[in-house]
Amino acid sequence: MAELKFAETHEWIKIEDGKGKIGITEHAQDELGDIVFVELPDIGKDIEKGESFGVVESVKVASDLYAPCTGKIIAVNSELQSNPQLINEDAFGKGWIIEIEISNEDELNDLLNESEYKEMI
Amino acid sequence: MLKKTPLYYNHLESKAKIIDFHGWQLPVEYVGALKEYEFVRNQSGLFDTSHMGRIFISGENAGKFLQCICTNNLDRLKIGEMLYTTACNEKGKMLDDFMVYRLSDKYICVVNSANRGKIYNWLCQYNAKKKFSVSIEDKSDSLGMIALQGPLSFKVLSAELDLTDLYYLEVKDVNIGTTNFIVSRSGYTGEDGFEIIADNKSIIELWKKLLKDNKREVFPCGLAVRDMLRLEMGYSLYGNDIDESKSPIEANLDWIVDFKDGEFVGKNILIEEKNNGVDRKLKGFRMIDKAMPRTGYKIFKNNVEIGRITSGGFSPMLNGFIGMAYINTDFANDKEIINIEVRDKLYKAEVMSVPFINSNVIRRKSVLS
Repeated sequence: MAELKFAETHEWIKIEDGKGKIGITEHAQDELGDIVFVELPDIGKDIEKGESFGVVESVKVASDLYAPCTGKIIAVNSELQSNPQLINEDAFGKGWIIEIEISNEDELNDLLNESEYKEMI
Repeated sequence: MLKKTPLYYNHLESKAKIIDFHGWQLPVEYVGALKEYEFVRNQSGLFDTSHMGRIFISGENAGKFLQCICTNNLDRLKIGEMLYTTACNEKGKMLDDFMVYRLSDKYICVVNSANRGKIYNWLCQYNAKKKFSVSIEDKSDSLGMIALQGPLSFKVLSAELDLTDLYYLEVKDVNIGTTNFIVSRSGYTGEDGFEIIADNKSIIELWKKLLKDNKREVFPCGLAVRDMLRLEMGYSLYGNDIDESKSPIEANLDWIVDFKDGEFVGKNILIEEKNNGVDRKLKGFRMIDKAMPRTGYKIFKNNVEIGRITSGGFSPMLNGFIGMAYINTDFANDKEIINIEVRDKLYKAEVMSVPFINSNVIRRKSVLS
């Protein structure tokens, strides 16, 4: 059973078998407005918790994406290159951005659960 | 205290996202900029432009007076026409860019919201100093203004207002009962469309009626899509592309600088710039590499900085990224390849002339007599 956690910087991470799919929240996509470009990282890159791993550009603003935890990037959603609006349409599903191999599961305890995140926004 | 247009509560009712735009609470989007883009290019979009300034100038010498303020040639402007102009200070730098309407008994300057007070004061001072004795009235607060833009504009607005014999950059009074509508065929999108000025109450009624009677043909639109549409047309935005540190020659607005007979403020410096050239020019560019160009980003050629972006964004029509920038004149040539710095990396772009896309405005067919 996958577990969904949230960063205060509005990324979500779906955790299953030591891996995590990462995207931005429904609230974040709504705030950003129409997304027209996503700068994706390279597969194989190591990222640290809190490090910027990419950028989403909406009609209005550029917004950095921050890693909710440390890990190695094992997949990127390349469909976003031709259809960045997938994030607007389905932020928690088809709009996922990267997948990582989580290197330190302890860090996940610092993240928010769904009700804590909802309270924050 | 943020200002509200007469349509503010209508925007709230329509669930628009509201932002602070130069001190005005205005809708940035209703259902999303990209959807609103399709409305304007394929059907019609309704914009609240009440925040803009509407300054009325009348009196025997009103035309002569404006001729001294504006860089464009007011002598060419007949009753029922409008033109685009800048007004410069003594240094030839732009105080504002605006439209001048000529009606039978007056001229109207529709100026940028942020420059309303500045232009009003400028006009009053010049009027007093040169003893023109024209009447200058800022009617922005008592009048509202909306713009209907898109291919269906004529059809839907015809049901409300008489649009007979009105073509691009023409303006007329349409009186219904005791209400005076000042209607022009003009806009900031490159589409056929109209801009309407009337008292606040009548503007609210017209706004509501247009949306209610044409649910599948008229859609309210916000500032985000307005910016996208104007950028595709290469229209300058005051505060971004032009301001008091730039001249109309630098801004590639030579076409609205007419070295007409008689003096106008800034004329001598602009003649000098026209003859000797300027160091930088406002040009369009299109990204070759995929990256989003934004205001303030630096432009390089052979690792030397040659300019700065003043507007940038996504063009749905071109399905690519475009922008405008002041570029060192040596490199401000069409097809020049430039590098744009986005988050410490350089991305290739190509310099081009604006507009980026063709306009769909409907002009009067010239009748030679």
